[in-house]
Amino acid sequence: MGQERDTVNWGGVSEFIAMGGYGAFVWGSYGVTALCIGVEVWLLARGKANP
Amino acid sequence: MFSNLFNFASPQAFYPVAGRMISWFGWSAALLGVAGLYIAFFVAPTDATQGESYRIIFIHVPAAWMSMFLYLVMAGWAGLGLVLNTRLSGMMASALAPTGAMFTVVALVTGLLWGKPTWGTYWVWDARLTSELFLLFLYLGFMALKEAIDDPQRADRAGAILALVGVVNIPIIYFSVQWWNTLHQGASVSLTRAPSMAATMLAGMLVMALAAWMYSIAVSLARVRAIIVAREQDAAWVRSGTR
Repeated sequence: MGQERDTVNWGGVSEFIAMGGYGAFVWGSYGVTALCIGVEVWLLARGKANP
Repeated sequence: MFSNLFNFASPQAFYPVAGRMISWFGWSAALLGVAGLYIAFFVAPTDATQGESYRIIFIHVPAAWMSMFLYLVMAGWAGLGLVLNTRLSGMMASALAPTGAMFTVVALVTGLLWGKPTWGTYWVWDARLTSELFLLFLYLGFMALKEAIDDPQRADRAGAILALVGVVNIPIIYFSVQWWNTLHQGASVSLTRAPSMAATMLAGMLVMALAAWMYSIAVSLARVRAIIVAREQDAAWVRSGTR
């Protein structure tokens, strides 16, 4: 399942999650961004003009 | 031709047009975002000096670009409203501010999380970081000022003046890494010379930046529609539900 391509950078899922020891920083960054986007889209879907 | 163009300066005419454009820009943002993330994690190689922590820049740099660019667009609309006294201009400026503030927060937080493993500290008061933090205060100040004034036309004018004065901060952010000796590194991508990074890294960053553009347009259009409805709620076209 996409194993061939994944191995370009990562040996497996656990390596992908670990991010070479920087997992907390990398996933923290992407998580905060996803949260910000999620909140903004959610507020707009409810028809709110202001946060 | 121009008379047709100016028709869209009326909130009533712009409302349905904006509605049709939202899904187009929204889906473009989603597709570009997926493509950008794929490049960011599965195509771009590990950085020789930073390891995997550098993958934060795929959101940090586009978010930082967007935070500055949206401010300029916001101030541009605000200034246009001040000069031409068009109602829609002030609404457009108001619609851009929360998204600009959101991207500023993302740029700052991802910067903290990149700085700790790379510099050994979350935060320093250097010119780049401080001026970007000031940008967040400008966005929040603009939103708070407009919120505090009940008369929409007065709110638009006061907000426009604040937004225009704050424009001076944008070149300060952008050139801070050249003007001062900052811990923040200089630009890796510039219009005047070849980028100092691998082609796939650059591609990932540019695709993510494009996704951020499409996202910003989609959410700003959605927000300006909400603002139009709120401000024009007494107008016949809103009350009759013909929107």
